[in-house]
Amino acid sequence: MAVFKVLKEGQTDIDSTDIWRFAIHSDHPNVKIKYSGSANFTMLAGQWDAYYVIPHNLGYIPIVYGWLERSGKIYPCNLLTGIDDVKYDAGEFDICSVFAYCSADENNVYIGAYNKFPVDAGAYANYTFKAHWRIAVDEY
Amino acid sequence: MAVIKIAKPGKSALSTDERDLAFSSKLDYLKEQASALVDTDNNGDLTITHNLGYVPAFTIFVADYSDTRMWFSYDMIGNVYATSTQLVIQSAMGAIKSKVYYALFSSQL
Repeated sequence: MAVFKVLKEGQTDIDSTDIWRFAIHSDHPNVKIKYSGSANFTMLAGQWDAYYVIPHNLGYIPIVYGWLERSGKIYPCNLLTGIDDVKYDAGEFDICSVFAYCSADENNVYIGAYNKFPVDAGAYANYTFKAHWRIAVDEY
Repeated sequence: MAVIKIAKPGKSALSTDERDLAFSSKLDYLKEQASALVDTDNNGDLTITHNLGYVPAFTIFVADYSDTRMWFSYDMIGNVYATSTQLVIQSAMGAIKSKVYYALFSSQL
């Protein structure tokens, strides 16, 4: 089968076996983005968990990229990424600090904020976040 | 408008299932605007000025400066965020000097 290849700028060897030298290589597919978007959601005072739901209805679990914005800073959605202006600390067992997360199932993508300390403080104020996402056609 | 499609090996470009395609001009891609392998300071801190004028989609990987056999998809202890002018890395790998690979994409968040 014919192979379609496009080299990155500055690269000259179209026959190279170093795949990183290519912008496109049909034997090594790109992650193809189907849906992109952004939306606000609010974690109400006292909530542990708040998230925004993005329906994709692909019927399978897609590769997804998520980010969470707060006060002009955009954080990647990873397990222990702290949102550095959403903190309340009044003692060892009275702490609020949230992390950003992103998950997906066959119908939806979920981007949220979660209080990472298992204490009874909850969030002490309403916090508004903005979710950003890129949802791929491709699945895991 | 004409559409360019490239099928994955063994698949057809005429397929209606976009998962069968290696490339389609109807879809978007995370295209690198800038990327680099860099070192943080001794506290795991590093600020990268990009001046793209927008907050880019980004990804970042970190490793212990003295042991790069293991890379992490993101810092498990520190923090990272992007603004319209900077990528800010704080306390990477538990606030030690670290190796960081980052990619900023042309996709605007």
